[in-house]
Amino acid sequence: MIARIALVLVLLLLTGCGDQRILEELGFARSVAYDTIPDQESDGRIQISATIPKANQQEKIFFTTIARTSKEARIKFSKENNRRIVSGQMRSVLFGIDLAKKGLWDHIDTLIRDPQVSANVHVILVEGSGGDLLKKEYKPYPQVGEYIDELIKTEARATAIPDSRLYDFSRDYYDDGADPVAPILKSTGAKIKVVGIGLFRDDRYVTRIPTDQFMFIAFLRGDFRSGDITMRIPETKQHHENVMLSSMVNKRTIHVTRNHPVRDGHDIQVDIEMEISGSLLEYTGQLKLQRSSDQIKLETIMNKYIKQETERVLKSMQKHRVDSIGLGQYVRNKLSYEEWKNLDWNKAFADVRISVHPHIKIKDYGKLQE
Amino acid sequence: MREKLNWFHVAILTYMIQLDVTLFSLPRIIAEKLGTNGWIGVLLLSLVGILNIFLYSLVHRMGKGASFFDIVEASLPKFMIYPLYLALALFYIYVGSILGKSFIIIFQIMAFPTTNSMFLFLLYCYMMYCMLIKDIYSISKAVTVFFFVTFWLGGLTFYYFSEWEIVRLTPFLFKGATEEISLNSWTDIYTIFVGCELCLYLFPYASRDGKWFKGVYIGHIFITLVYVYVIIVSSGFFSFHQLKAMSYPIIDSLAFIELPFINRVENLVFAFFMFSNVTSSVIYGFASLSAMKRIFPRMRKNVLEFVIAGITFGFGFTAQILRETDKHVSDAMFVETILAFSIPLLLIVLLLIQRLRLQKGSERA
Repeated sequence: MIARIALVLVLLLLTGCGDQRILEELGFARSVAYDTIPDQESDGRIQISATIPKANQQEKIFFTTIARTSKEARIKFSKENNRRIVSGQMRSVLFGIDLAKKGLWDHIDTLIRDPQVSANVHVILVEGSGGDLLKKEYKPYPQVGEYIDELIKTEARATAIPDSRLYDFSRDYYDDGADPVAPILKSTGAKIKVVGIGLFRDDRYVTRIPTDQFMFIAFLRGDFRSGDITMRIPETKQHHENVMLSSMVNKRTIHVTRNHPVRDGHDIQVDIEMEISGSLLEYTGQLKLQRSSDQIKLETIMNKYIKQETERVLKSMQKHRVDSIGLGQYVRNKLSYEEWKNLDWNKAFADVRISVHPHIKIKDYGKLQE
Repeated sequence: MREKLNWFHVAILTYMIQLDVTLFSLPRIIAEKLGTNGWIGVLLLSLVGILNIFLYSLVHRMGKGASFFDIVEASLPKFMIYPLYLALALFYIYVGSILGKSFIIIFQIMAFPTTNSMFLFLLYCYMMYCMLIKDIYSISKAVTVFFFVTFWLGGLTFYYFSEWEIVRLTPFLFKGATEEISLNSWTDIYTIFVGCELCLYLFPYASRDGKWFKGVYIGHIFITLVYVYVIIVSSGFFSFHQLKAMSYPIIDSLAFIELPFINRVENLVFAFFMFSNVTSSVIYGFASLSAMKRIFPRMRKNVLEFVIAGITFGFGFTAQILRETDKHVSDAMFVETILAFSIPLLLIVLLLIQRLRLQKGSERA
């Protein structure tokens, strides 16, 4: 018996000798950035940059190189370094917008294929150069990789920017009734800011949603809990009232009606219902919040405002033929398989009649009576 | 009194034999072969599996619990059946071996990528040997433990509910398969239910009244539900074309789970599945052992078991890379499917002939 246990132990321990991963000999790439280089020099090559935290967690090592693929770059980085570069701890992958306009799938494909890379890596667009964003020092945040990761996570909670992990990106890319999205970052002085949400058609960046419309795309994309919105609602031509709703809960349902047969987008009508409730924490208008009737009035005003703004976001998507909220999935389910196959959804989407019906409920209005 | 297998252990054995490495690619295979909502097809095929089990229960009833070997030997001369036993024994070893090797090759995508796969396979075969030298009661108890070691992993699917959307399932039935759906597609998928036919080799160890067959049915229905659940969860979590593009959707979905104290859970979880995979190999080994014992009844203790583990290891050399193991698994499963249906039919014919002969004999008397 002892001999048998010893044999198993020896075999198990020997297994470890073959494939060693010694922590001190590895460099964990936290963020990787892909950028275009000027056309005349490119010859199919791109600039790839990466940051690796040093063991003291206060400094980082920055690499950049020109290569055809990310894997070639990884091998190049390893040659310049006393550590082997691995991507098991990668948190975010950054793409310059110029590169994103040409299509990202080749780069995403190799990331998904690589079993080292987690499905939770964030796909992020960068206004300007991703490499430059990684290279810069941000004083209070020594590790740019962690900084970006935290920024995206907290922003996602506070303003409900859509998730754009490798998982979401590839899921929507493959789905014939949805298009992927990704947040856009910009480095401004000593800070990194979220400046928009990039909308893709297949794997190509097409347009963006500016920061003040984040909440509207969030309403349209689906259910969420937690999220704040400030609304500047025109009361009269000169005067605006400010309303701030906090801790919002949104429940979205989509109804599709259709003509028989469906030839193009004109034959499809989509109604998006949104049940929104939240705490009203700021109000600068004339209504008296303690009165139920005035609360209802305010709800009506907000409904009108949100309807107008969400429809504006939708119009912009339709103009650019990007279905970033996945309406196609719902339309598909109302069509026969043949009808859906014969429909070029991105084209038809532009002609679909879409109306939004928000139903806001003021859950409470804070700790003040007046 | 000799211990008998009860229905509970039989149910878990049946479930664990069927649960093997194919689970990891199952949602993809179903999407490729059947298209959308393939889980309905799995339910239909499960009925075919139930029919298969029914054939075995018929053999059990008609033969009054006599073992496969007793039935065959009562009709055919020994010089004819020994080569048959040997071929069968070798085939079972091959199935068990290729299932194990396939698991190791997939495991190496994630861990120990440059280690010699045969070295890892040696450990696998050793584990198999350690179980094989025990009797079937001990094996079934070990398998029950393995069941509890792996079953809780189903709870991990709760992680996917936040991203799961019913709209991705689509209302289309069997649309968008890679090739046109043919009889071939159905038989290819049926192979996921291969394994329940091994209940044939449990006859001598279970009660004669056949109540334990309840366990085979329950185990089979249980694995069907697990398959359907896994397919539905994956189809709402991934988009349809994405599912078709991924080699191992289950590993990819495990990769999505991130716990505060550990991420990249898939490396850990995948290792747990080795237990259910070893179970499949062990039971195939056990079937092979039953046949070998008939040919070599007076062999010294543990020798046959050692030979089986050795041949299992040897067969491992036939497939060294993924496309080879994939091919071997699908070929082996195809042959096993044919055997699963032809063996009980053959036995029923033999039993009918035996009964007829007996009747004639009594009439003459």
